[in-house]
Amino acid sequence: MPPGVGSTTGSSAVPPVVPTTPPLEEETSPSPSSSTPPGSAKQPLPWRKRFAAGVRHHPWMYAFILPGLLFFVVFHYVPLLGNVIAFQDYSPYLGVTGSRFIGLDNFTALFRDPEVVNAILNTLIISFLQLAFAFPAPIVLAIFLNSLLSERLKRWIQTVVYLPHFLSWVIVIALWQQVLGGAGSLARGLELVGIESVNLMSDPSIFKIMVVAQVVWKDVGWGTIIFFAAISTISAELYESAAVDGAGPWRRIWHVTLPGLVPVTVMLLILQLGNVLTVGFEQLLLQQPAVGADAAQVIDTFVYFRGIAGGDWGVSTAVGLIKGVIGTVLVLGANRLAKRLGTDGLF
Amino acid sequence: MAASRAPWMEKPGPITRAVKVVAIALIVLVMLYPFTYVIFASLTAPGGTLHFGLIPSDWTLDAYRSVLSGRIIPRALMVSIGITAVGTVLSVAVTTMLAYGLTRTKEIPGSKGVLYLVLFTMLFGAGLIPNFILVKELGLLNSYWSLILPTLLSAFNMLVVRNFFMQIPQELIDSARIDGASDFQVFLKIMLPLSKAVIAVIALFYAVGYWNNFFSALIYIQDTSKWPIQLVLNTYAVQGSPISQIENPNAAGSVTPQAIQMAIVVLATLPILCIYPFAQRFFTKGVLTGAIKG
Amino acid sequence: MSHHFTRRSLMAAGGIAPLAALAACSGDAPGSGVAIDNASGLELPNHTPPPEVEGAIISDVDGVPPGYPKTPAELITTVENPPGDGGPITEFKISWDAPAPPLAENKFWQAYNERLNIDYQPQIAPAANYDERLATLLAGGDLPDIVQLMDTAQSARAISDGAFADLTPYLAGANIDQWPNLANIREDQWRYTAYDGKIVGFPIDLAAVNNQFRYRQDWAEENGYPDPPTTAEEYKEIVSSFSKMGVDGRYAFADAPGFALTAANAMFHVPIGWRLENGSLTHHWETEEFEASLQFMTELWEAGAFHPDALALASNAGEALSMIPAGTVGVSWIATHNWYNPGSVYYNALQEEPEGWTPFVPPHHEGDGAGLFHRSTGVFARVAISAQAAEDEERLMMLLDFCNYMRAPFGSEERYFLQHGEEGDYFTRTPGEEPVPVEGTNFHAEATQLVYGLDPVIFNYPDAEEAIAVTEQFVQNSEPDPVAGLFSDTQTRNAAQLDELFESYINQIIVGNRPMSDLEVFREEWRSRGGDDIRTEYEEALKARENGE
Repeated sequence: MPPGVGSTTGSSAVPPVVPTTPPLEEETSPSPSSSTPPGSAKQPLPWRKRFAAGVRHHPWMYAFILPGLLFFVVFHYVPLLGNVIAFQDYSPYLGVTGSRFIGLDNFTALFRDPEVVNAILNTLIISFLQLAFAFPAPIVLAIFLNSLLSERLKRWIQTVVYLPHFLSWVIVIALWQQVLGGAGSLARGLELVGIESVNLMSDPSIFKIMVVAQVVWKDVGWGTIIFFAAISTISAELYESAAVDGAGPWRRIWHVTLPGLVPVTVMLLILQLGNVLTVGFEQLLLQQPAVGADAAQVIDTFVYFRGIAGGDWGVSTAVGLIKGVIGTVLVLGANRLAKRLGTDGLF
Repeated sequence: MAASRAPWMEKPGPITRAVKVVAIALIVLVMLYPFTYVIFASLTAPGGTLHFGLIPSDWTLDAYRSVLSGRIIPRALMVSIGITAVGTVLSVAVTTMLAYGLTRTKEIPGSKGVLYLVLFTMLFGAGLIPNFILVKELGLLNSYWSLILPTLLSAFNMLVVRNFFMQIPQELIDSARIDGASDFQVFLKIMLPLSKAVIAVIALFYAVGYWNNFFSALIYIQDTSKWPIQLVLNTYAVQGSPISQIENPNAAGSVTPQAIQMAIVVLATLPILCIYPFAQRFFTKGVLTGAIKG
Repeated sequence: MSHHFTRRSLMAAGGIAPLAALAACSGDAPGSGVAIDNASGLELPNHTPPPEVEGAIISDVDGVPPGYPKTPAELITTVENPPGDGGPITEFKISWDAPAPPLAENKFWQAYNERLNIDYQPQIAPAANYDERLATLLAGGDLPDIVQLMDTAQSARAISDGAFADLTPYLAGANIDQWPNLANIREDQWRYTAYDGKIVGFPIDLAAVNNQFRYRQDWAEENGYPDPPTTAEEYKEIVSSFSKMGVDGRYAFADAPGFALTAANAMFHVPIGWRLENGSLTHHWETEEFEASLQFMTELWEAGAFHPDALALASNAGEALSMIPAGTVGVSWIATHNWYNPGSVYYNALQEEPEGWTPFVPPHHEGDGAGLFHRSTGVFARVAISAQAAEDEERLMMLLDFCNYMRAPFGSEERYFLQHGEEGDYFTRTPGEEPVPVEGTNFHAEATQLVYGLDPVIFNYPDAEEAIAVTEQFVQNSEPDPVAGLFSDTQTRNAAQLDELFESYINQIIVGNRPMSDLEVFREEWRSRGGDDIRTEYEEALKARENGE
């Protein structure tokens, strides 16, 4: 908690909305989870008995969990078994049982491909740029809109900014071309003042920046939704007491609004890290002819050309597995870091 | 809602104000341009051009007439609306229940494991073919349920809701339990009413997800009369195929394929846009304060 | 009559290559370097030419579709009994169209079921997502009775895995006479549809040259060029004059490289696919001719012939195509059918501006006759019968009867029904006159998707004569790819990746982001990433073909 607000919240009659420690969340001690082996030395009761007691005391909680759990088991874990085709020369017609096992050949084939290094590099650069710009953009916009006084204006602008989210990438890119392309409004305008042939849309050197700009434009409004919901849960009394303590609008943003957005931001950031190896497939595939693979080849487009178009399901599944492993490491690491820094983390 | 300003909210100074006005104008211009373009393009008559890239020189409603008089688009719109409505209600119910069930990992043995299990699904996917085989084995092929059940729950949305549930003050829950409320009653009387904002958010996320999902239908629905609007839009209009020939026999000369395409984009987008204002209502006001005082 | 229409966006955009080489492999590990001549050892079915029709225009040039300017007064019957047994027939089919209205609201579908005595159940695969649909179909286990197979790596795999029936014993030699309409399929088409010496399906028909070049002669004339170009230099002058007419946003070409490269390659006589000399192959990208053609492309780009976003427009076929009737671009290369089919936007554009879009043949670059064009295999895709359905011989016979009906020639009752529906539903016909559409009906919307597949390519337009004359010029100056009909495993697997490599280098060279000297870098990359393997595999297959015959 930054100094200055601590006293405000502390003296307030209202309980803190953003608890420094989550309710009923365990500390750093090992969690009693299903993964703990029964009869573990630290646990007084065997897991099965504790589970039975849990069900007895909290039947509703288990009833709440059950349908969701069932869904994930049936629709995620059962098909996950299909990932075995990463180790096969898979033919859809022959199926898993009919296709030949080829060990790690799909994985080695991947890393022998000269394109793969370029694809990984491009993916990481675009991902990093997105984390730096596209990720915070909705937070900034949400705070800005929240600072508007007129309720009506606020709502109206919210509605406008979330419009682009609904256009498909084909249309988004066509529209960007009409403005920033070689025959676009910008190029024509500059031509009038004597600057010739500006084409921001097919310049490989600025392509990655354009990709991030397109993402920001398309999804910044959409991204604000979740932050608006978070802002709405911040108690008005927090602002009030901050104002009483003499905090101006900027200080209130710094000391009330931003701390209120920390939990959801941390959560989104951790989840985003799990996706660093995934950047907009369709968006990049569509623009690749214009700027070339050197600039626009990412992991997913690579998999598309190599795996799907080449009919090689084994290779594309292998990539999925590698991405999953790396994502898991990043998410677990980020979560631990977040907890060490004093936030709740994700779980 | 003409919400009056809170007393501590002072009017900004002239410079701040000017900056804000410019910022708003810019944002609105940049965000609104594509939509005005799409709408105007859908109204352009053959031979008409867009002045300044925007305003049609010669306009007509024929594109809409042609699309709506056909049998494909209206039917597909109905399918989409049905899937979205049923799917969203079910999704929100299952998501909030699971999210609440996973808020007290210490008290509820096993729930921490479930949480990890859910989280893991965000990192590892199964891919097209295994999913298809599952849906087929469950007998859901060609059924509307194949457009709902496989995407019923999103781990992300569940985590968002759980994250908000975790921030509801423990005192509220404790005092309710002391009064003898069951977990079910706590869920219904405390968690849900205090989380309207986030429920509105995930309802919106789910609704938009169902609305925009054409891929499930492409793979699972063989009967083309059951296709939702986004699949029709995606496979035909976006590819630039000659839909004008298809929808209206006599329209060949009176509408351009481009206008038809844009009209379908408009028709496929408008219904889902209409949901936003409803969701918006729930997250413009702090809901917590009142609840705590009352 | 509308079947070409469905091919329009595909062929015009050049998005997917028509069946060029036959795909087959014996299920070996990736990169095993399999090379086969699919037609070797093939027992060909006998050929019977389609019946003569009064008023037909049959070109002397082989590969030009027959022209039928009018419907004959008397229609012949080619199928005596309805092919079906009243039960369902399922078919997986490619589509570029919006879905047909459902059976209950679709008069054609109802009439179709009744006439053929079937319960027809199509499964539609939108062309853009064909691969995903086919993969799930194959993985799901029970295949439909009939499957339309595009030439993708996936199809190749499925055929080699035995998913489809070997029809050779039923169709070879005189056996095919049982199905006289199927006997209209030409010998060369059978060769290109075969797999490893077996007949695994029927061809979806394709003209030897399906498209035609046209340019805005009215614009050229306005700019002082009344005659079509006779050299590459003249061509460049004419097309680059389009963007300098003082009309904002007017260009020669919408997309790049696209068909502008097709024209340039034709003018510089770049070999089609590969150059074959004494049994060794040189890819056309490796030739001097291609270098000259690419150089010419960079000059065109500098001269301002292209839309500034041409590279990007290559991935938006819809928008690029819409520029043709919109008067934004001045050169086109789209399917012949579009210009002659009343009701198409291109036909309409031509009606409005009769002096406008004029066919022309890109000349040899030094004026030594015409350019050199690609002659197709005559096969666009395959129509196969699933091995599962064929286990029951009686059912297989019924499916062959069905295919025989669907391949009915022009001038027959059956073809007339497939083109116009039941009398009075969509069209009315007085013998000796052309059918007249019934007000407020739309045959195309309700029927095209259902009947697409085995219909023969014909020019059934009032102006068939011109269509034939133009097509003749292209076909006469065309050559086939020397490796057509051969199979290279590496080619099948790496085609998408190598095309992408091409795009990365060549596109950037054309627009001047890379120097011409990078062509050599590209060639090296191409060779090391599969090009040399493909060459070796094809050379082996060529040797096998020579030894076999």
